[in-house]
Amino acid sequence: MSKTGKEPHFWVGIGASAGGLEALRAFVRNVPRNLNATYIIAQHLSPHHRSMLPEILGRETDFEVLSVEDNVEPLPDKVYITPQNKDIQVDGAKLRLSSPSQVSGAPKPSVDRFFRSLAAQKSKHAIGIILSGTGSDGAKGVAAIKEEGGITIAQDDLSAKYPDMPRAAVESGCVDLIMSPEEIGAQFAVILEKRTDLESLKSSPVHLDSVSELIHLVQTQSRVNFHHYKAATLQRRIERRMAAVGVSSIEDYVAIARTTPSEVDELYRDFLISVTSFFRDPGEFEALRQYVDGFIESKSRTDAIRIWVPAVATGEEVYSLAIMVAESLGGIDALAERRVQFFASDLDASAIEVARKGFYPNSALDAIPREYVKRYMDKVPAGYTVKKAIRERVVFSVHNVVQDPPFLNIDFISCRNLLIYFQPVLQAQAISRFHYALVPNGLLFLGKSETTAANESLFRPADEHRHIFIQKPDAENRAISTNRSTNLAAKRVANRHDIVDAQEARVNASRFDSIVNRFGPDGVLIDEELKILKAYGNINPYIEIVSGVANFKANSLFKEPFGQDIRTSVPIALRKNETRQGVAHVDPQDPARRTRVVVYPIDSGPNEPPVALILFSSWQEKDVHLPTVEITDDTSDLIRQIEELRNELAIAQSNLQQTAEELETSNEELQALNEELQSSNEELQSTNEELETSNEELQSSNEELSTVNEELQVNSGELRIVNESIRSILLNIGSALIVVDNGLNILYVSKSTESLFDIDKGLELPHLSLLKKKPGFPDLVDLANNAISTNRSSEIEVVAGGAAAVVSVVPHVSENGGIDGAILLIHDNTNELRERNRQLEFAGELSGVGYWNLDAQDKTIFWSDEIYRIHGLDPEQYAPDFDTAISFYHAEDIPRVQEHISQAMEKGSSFEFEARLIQDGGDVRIVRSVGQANINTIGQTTSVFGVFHDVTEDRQRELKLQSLLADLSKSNHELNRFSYVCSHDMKEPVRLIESMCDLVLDKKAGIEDKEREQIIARIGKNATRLSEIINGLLAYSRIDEKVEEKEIDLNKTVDQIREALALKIEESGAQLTVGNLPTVRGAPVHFVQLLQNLVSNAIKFGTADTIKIRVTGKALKDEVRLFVEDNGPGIPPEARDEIFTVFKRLQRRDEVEGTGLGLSICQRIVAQYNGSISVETSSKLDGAKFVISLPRRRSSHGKE
Amino acid sequence: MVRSLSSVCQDGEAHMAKNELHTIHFIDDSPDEFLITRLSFRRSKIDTQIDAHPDFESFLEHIKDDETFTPSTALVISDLNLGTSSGLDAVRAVRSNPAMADVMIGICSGSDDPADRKAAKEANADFFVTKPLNQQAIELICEAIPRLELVIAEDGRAKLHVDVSD
Repeated sequence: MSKTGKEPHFWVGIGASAGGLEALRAFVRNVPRNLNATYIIAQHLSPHHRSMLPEILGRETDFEVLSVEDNVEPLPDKVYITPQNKDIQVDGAKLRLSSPSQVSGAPKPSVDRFFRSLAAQKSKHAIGIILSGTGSDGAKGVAAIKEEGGITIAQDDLSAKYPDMPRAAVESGCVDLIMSPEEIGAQFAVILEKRTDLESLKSSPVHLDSVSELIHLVQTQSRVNFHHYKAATLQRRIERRMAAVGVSSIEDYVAIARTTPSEVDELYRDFLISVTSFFRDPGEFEALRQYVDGFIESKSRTDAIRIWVPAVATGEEVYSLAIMVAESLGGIDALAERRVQFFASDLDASAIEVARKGFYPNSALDAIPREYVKRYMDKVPAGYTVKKAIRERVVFSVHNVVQDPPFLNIDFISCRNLLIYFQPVLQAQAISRFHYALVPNGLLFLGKSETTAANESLFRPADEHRHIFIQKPDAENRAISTNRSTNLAAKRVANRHDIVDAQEARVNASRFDSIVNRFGPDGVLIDEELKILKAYGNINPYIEIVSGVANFKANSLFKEPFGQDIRTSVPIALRKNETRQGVAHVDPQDPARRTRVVVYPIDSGPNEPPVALILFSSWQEKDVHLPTVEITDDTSDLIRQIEELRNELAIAQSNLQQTAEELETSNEELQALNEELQSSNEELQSTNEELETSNEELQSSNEELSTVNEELQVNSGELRIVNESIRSILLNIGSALIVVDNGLNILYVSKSTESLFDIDKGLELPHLSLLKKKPGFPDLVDLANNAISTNRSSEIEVVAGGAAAVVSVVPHVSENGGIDGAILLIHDNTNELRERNRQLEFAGELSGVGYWNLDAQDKTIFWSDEIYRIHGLDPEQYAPDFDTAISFYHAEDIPRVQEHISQAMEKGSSFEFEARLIQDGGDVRIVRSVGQANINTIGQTTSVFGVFHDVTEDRQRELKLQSLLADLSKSNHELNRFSYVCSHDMKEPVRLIESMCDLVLDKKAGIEDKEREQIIARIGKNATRLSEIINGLLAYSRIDEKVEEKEIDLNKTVDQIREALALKIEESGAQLTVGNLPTVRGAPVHFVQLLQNLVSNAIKFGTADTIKIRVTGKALKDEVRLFVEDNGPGIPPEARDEIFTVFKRLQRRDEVEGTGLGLSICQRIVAQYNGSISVETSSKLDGAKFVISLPRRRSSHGKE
Repeated sequence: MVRSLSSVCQDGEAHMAKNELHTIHFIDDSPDEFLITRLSFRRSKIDTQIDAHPDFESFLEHIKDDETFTPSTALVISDLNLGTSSGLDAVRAVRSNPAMADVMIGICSGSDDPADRKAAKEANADFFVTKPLNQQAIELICEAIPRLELVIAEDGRAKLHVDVSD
């Protein structure tokens, strides 16, 4: 939407000079349309050079770009360019063109003149922009605009190719905003909008670009100006800090820097980072050596030697030079004797501190020859320190090369890799200072990428191939400027142009006219192009208008010879600013009259071209007497000769005239040529500037490339190692390794691959599909394609023809995650398989487990050796097949086994069963088989694999265990019963004693004496019983105790019993008959107790008048049998088992005394010898007959 | 249940239906046990007579000849562990005999084994008491058999009464 009519119409004047084209392009590219502004450009142009500016800018923008024509009324959204050799001014709503000042060196067009008229006409709607350029044109103009309330903008230093012009404008103190042309264009709408409040705009990021603001912040804080440091370098350092503080946009970083002085400090240090090392660029140092030797030789022993190392950083360079000087002088002692002084300076105080200490780690000393290290350094922990004798020769100081006064009378300056960070202007300044600091013919040593090109008149190269320069003593450079503003002020005074008042000018013209009229009757005022400006007096006698000529210039309008005088004298008079007189010409009509042309140069004023006043001065020669000549023949001859001479003269004059004209033409051509050359020169100069810039960028790039190159060399080394490793791997890896690209072209193969696939190593590696197919191997092409397309690894086991291998395929994934191909590894594990099979067989043999495999297709069966053994078969005599193999199972089990196998074959199920197997010899074995079907990728059962184990013994053991468990359970039950009975039967006498005591002691119980005696007797009886029970239980429990076993003659045992029971036998009148008893092996105490209990029972329970007891025995093959018979009441059949139970009694207590433990003890003793005891009716004595059966036991020495 | 004789006298109808229980049949093969019981009764002035039987067969034999034996007023106490048999067998034998359906029979034992107590209950014994068989044991039996009552006279003498109203 156009704002025309609503918004004020702004007139934007743009002044620019050298480097302005680039700035203008950037401006017009970014400035938006529809701001209701007209842009008028005053670009300094050569008066003779046809400018292409409208065309160039027209290509950059949508605006219509026009060349200004006089009296044009400019429109908004159009760009007007002042044509060459014209000044431009604003006159009301129009633009006026006028002739520029003819003063040599005056800018054309004059920006000041333009801006002044702009300010006067448009006041607050005037905007003045000063872009790149040299000089100070425009500074006064912006002041005028500012005075009238307009807006003034200057291009910033960083972006300006030639910042003098905008800087002069800024220094006038009348510039509102300092910005890059891009920013001016991009922010122009904002600028117009905020024109009444530009202060806020100044503090906003619009005011300065971010880098400039950072430089400004650093300058404010550190007093060091980095404006002329190379933008790319600063940008990189700023990016480093941005990364360090973790911000991604420079605006954010600027915001941090504005509020954080410490960050500005960090940035300052980063700006100062420099790379240095000992003897950096050894070739350069080697070349330097002869020059150092040279200047040292030129010094006497008492002369001072002064060396300055600006930008010394951490000191490596100054110490390198000190070592070199010491070497040149003849060692460290010689150095001590001479007046050698090193000045080492740097901006960075912390770096200076490091340098001053002179300590360097081992790694920093690689470049120093070892003998130097020995001679000039002291070993300290973790590194070396430069010897004190060297260090004390070096004065370190913080110093700014371009701001602080330089050191003086220096013989040699080494400033390496500092200038590369400077823009040319700063380089020139630094070089100038070096020139000033150095003694005549002093040495300057620069970095590999540095030259003195920025100020090449001051130095000459000492060596074309090296960067060593010699100061030119005769060069003009003694005026070191340290105060720029003073200089500028002086310049401004010199360039001051006063404003000429029109009225005053008119008065002056009138005065001039009257003077001319007074002193020179006839004359003309002409300009430098010989155009008649004004005529005075009567000039008609001198004028001749030739037919056909329409040239009113003085040179052709005036008669000859006056025309000739004017043509030759005017340019000289104007050029030399001196009065010229022509020759006195004789009037052909009046020989006594003479006329002379006098040319006066007239100064028209500062901005006006000079003019010349031509006066025709005529007078009568008083002493001219021409003799009267008689006309004689001689006279006529004379007259004829004169006439001829006149003719010749006329011809000569004509020739001269022609020559003069030709000369003039040549002169004009030369002038044209000169103009062209000037134009070319300007272009060449511009090209040269660009080349210089490019060269600097290249130098900087070269430094960076050197770093990159070093990194690449390191990488190259690493790559070589990796390549060597890969080659070694490929050569030595035992497996076949194939690396293919995405097209399956083979890139690498291992040595093993060549032999496996018969690859001819002399030939180029083939495509994967051309590899010889190996029987039983999968299609490698499919595998590789699959790995590449799915990005998945696969592994396939191959068993074919007694060989086995594992084929692994993995996608070859590149660093960025893409797939570059595939890697195939074929691991031949035939030997491993054989070894594993052998181990499997061995394991089967050790564990008794065999394995079998049933092929689902051809029904062939494989049996391991162990399976043959379980079947009782010889592998040589029987080859298993499905039908006969299954027939080995018990007929009842075959259907079940078949069912399991069928299910596995059909459904792929696993199984586990136990079945009876009839061995070849007819023995029945129980076997356990566990199996599983092998399923291929399409779900088919390819085979059934199973393991086979003879579990007959296991099952038998299980049965035995079950029996033992039952016994244990019974025993446990008995134990419970035993403990219960024990508890009950033992408690009873105790309780009875307790109760009886209670009664006896209770006087209220009314126990009579007789009763008391009876009770006491019963207490004693119960105590006895309790004792017997305890003894019995003790005997019972001790049976398990380990007792020494020996051969026992049971006859003697019975004799002992007879003796022990002698009283009872006698009292009862029992008859004890003993047969011939065998010998047994055991503990004598057991057999005494066994037989004594039985005999004693027979006596105790005997009811016959004469108790008969018979003890007999016999020794059988495997056992010994003992019999104890009596003629007692016998044991009823239903009680014959339970009588051996603990505390079991068949008689009531009131009938027969006893503990009920006797037979229990007997049974336990017999059980101890794995024997048995039972009772039956004695056939001989009709009572009970106890039968004891004892298995024969052998002594350790083989005796029974 | 134990109460004084005066309270019994006040309970008219109940008194009319109750008979004195003259004899306790004590089956135990230990003469000592019998002696202790007898002396304990005497000390406690319990006037009820105790007939001792070494085993169940002896008891059966005894009652066969005893014309005064009335099942509904008979109290039989059997030792659990008779030397040759179990008191539980005696309980089961009584319970399985319809003629002796009203006999009050229970178990006494030297130890208070829960398993024995449970077995006695399962055999339908009227009570399970621990030895010695003294006044305390009799009182426990009276508590277990509601129709049995130990009545103590003012002179301290005690007698067992049994309710025969049903």
